[in-house]
Amino acid sequence: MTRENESEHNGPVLPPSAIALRQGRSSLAEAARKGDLGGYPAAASKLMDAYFRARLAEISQAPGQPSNSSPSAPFGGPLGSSAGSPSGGGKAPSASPPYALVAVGGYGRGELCPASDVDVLVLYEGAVPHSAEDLARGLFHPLWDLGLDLGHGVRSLKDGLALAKEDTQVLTSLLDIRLIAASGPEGAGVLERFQREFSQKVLAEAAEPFGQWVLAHNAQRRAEYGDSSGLLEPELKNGLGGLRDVHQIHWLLGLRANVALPFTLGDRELLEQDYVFVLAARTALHLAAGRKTDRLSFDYQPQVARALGFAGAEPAGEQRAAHAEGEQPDALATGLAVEAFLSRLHQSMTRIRAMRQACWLGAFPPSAHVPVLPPGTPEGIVDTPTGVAFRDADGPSGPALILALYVAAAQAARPVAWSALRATRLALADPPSDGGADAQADARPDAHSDREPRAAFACLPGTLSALTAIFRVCGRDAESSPLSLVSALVSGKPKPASGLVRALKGFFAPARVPGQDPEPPQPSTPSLSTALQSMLDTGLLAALVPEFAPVEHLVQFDDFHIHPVGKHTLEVVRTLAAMPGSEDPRLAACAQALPHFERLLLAGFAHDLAKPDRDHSGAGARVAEHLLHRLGADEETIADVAFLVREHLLIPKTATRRDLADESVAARLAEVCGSVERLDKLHLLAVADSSCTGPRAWNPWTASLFTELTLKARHLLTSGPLAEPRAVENSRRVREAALALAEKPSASPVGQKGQTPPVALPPLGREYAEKCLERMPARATLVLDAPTLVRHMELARRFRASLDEDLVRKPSSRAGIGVVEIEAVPLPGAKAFQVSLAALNQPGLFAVMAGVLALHDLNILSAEVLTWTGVPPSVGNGGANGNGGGSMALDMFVVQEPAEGLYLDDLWARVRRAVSYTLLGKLELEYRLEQKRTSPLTLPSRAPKARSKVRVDFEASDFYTVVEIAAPDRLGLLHDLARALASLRLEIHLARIATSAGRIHDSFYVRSEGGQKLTDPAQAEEIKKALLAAAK
Amino acid sequence: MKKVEIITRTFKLDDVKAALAEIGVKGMTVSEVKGFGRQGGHKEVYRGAEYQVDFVVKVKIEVVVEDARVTDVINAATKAARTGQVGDGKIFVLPVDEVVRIRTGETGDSAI
Repeated sequence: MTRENESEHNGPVLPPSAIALRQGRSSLAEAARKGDLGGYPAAASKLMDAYFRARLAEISQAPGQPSNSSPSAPFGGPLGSSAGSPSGGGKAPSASPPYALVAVGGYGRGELCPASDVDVLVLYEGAVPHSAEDLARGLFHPLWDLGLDLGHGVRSLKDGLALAKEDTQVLTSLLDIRLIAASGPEGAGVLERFQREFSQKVLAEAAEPFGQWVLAHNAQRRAEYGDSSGLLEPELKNGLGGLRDVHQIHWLLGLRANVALPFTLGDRELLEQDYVFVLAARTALHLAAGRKTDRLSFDYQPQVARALGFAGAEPAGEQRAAHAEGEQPDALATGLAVEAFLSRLHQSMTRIRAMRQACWLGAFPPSAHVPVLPPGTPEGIVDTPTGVAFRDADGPSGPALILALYVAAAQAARPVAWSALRATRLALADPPSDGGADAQADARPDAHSDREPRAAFACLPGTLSALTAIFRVCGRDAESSPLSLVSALVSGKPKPASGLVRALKGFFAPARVPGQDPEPPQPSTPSLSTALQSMLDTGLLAALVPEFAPVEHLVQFDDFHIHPVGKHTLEVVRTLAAMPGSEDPRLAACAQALPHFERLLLAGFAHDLAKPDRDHSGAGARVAEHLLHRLGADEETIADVAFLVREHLLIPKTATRRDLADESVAARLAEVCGSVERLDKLHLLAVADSSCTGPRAWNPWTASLFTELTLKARHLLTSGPLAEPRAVENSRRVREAALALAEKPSASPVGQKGQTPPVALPPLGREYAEKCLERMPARATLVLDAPTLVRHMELARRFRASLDEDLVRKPSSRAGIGVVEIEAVPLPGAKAFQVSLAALNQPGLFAVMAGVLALHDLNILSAEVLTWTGVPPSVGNGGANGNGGGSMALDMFVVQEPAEGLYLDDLWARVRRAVSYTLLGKLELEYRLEQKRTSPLTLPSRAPKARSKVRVDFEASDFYTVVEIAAPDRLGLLHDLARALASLRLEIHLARIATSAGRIHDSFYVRSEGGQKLTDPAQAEEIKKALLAAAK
Repeated sequence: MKKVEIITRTFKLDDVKAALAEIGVKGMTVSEVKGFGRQGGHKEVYRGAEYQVDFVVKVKIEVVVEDARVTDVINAATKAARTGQVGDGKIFVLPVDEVVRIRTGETGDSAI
């Protein structure tokens, strides 16, 4: 308030025109906030036009102003005096050459959102005169003072044309050129001449390279902004399906007006509606953000949804009530409004994207096209250069023929032509008058095919085989699929963006000679929609499988998923279909060896059908059973698919939350699956599902856990059930191996490069190693391998040495407390490090270590606490176990690879020091963590808050009580949870930390101080409350 | 208000500038600077004990923004300037007490 007044007071001196503009804009924004979003862009453009005209008038009336070069003030005529008529005649002073003030780009199109750039150009016929400087200053400075983003140019006609030839971005902005004002009729003439030359000299030659540029540009947009029509945080302008697509359609239509494009008037009207909707969303977003941003991020979605009238959205569909669980009523309403808004937005953007693709294909059909329809395709379907279409484009096409077309397109790996897409949409359109009684009329599908179209699709014979056929071949990369998220992550190395590379190749390929073009069409065709994507886009999939309709556009308002359910489902199917050719040889081999691969695909399609349901896997299995039954699948298929859907969360949940060293965990999975075949299918489904959920649900560490669990269960299935004997046998073998290793000299202490040259340490010796093994907990030989055991012994030896030194230096009451040793090794393949910390056991030690790691930006993935009995044996001959009290705690953490791997030695040393200082009281962890949390650099989670949950499980393990907690993640959360557990006098023995996506899912295996498993329900209640409070 | 000082490789200047412009930063000051950081320029041992450090040429980009924008600026600059190699540079964030636009006498956020 004060500041506003202040700046009002001594702010810049604005001319009346600028003040009018400011007032106009703020009242427009006010009106937009009250609901008139649709009118904003055009009104803002008009306001801007009015400013320019009024300003020109002001400048010409006050000639004596700051011009130092030409005192005669040679500005053009009294342009704006009759505001509205740009060529208002008058006394154009002879001294000044004529010019035209034109709007280009978004301003030229008349779509100014609140924070859009205002792009204007002053065009002179010949060279730019000196007077232009004063003119520009007079016109543009007030706009800067208003804080507008101004893109401006003052150019001669020739320069403008040359620039447009060179730079396609400039060319596109000039396509939307519009006259604002001119210095009399001559000025207007400048623009006319410019436009004439532009279309003759530039546009005439531009079409072909422009098409290629659009292609490359779109590939780049896809890489950078993603496919907005399927993203939960869509980019409204540049994402695929965004406003840029609409612009491209206009440009392509403008450039290639002579090409017969497949759009009808109805198509254009629909496009216009979608365009207005997206533009309104962008306007609302700019108003909500108060600055220029086109990414509709979570934090702005509620505001934008409300602004677009989705505020009081009634809970659509009663099954959504399931969402209510644990959420505030108003939060629920907001969530629903946002979901309704997003799904509407996605539908608009999907249509826009599909239309742009069709438009490009129509404008630049591949020159050499060989029809490649599979044999057995019905008569009425043809493969045209622009995609697979019906022979009789406007004639009636029955559901069976429509389905056959998509099957043919999928198998021929060709896009579906726009005319066919439209025919599909028309065939699916609900008759306007009809209510909900469609279901009754499907007894005679043929007779009613034009009146009850949707219902006819739902009972089409042969749907199952058609779907399977399409699923099988859909592994191809579509324009709308995210850029090889899966393969890049599975293989651990990024794969070059194939679409982009291809497009760039096409872009840089030498220009074709018009006469001969034997060039194959493939490299220059964009990766368009696959038939499957088109089925989703047109709604055909939902019509064929009515069970799919409720989830098709279902948006999950969390920051875990990146796609709506429909799109996610498609991606899962696509990933599964691509699995046999996966870059991960194990997955590929597994998928290739699978009998009944189509069952896996069907399960991928059905796995989320019951999505909003709380138990979506269980309910989904029932839906899948019902669905497959109706489609006429055989019993075995139904049983398999239902099983896969029911258990599709089993592997992800178990792998990330359970103790994989516990054989009963793998045994339980093996028991549920029963056969290797089912286990493999379940594994593939879990991998596909997780990797398509979003980058946060999937990383190399998760992948390694999935694999470990599956391999263990597989082993049990192939070599028969076994229990304890094997564990004993195993641990004996590890012992022996460790003892053997201990006799060899080892490398440098921490096993790191740099700094200290690797000094070979004296071998531990068998005797010492045996003493260590005696002191280690039994679990150590079960869960660790021999090299790790030996490394721990070495760590223990160093710890003992430091401890002895500390004992000499300090009084015995205080000695040893701050002695900490650290050891870290990379875990191959998992992009993680195993960090072991040794210290004297004391309450809260685990919490301290977890806190210190968080303080150093180390993301903890899992933790294991191995407390030795007593301190490690001393090295020398002094054999006696000097320090009677205390024992060594060895906490082993798996942390994500640090962002920078260059100075790891330093990092581990700092971690060690920080733990030591915290234990000694030289470093206050709480305050440090708080400071880090409140730092502007720590982004607060923007995700909608979900409630925390705690579960205390007495059954999951025989020796431990398992405490599970799900809560929104934040910095130092594990530290706080561990502290709460420590203050409850619980000992943490194992922690599994699944931090997927803004939400942690931790499991702690705990025992009481006395080493007992807990069994008291009252205590469980207390634990729950304490952890919930700590997770706040 | 905060001043964000970005010290980075000279050839990253355009990228950082573009990234900052993209998020709506309206102005910046750029200077060529010399210095060294963790990699210590090039160390040379001279007559046993002495060593000489070569200063490496970098650009310093200074931007003043409202407190709320600091994170955006840092994220954008980091993303644009990162190569992953030693010598990518540093970003400092400093408090700024007051800003005056000389031409108009505006102060505070509106003068940025």
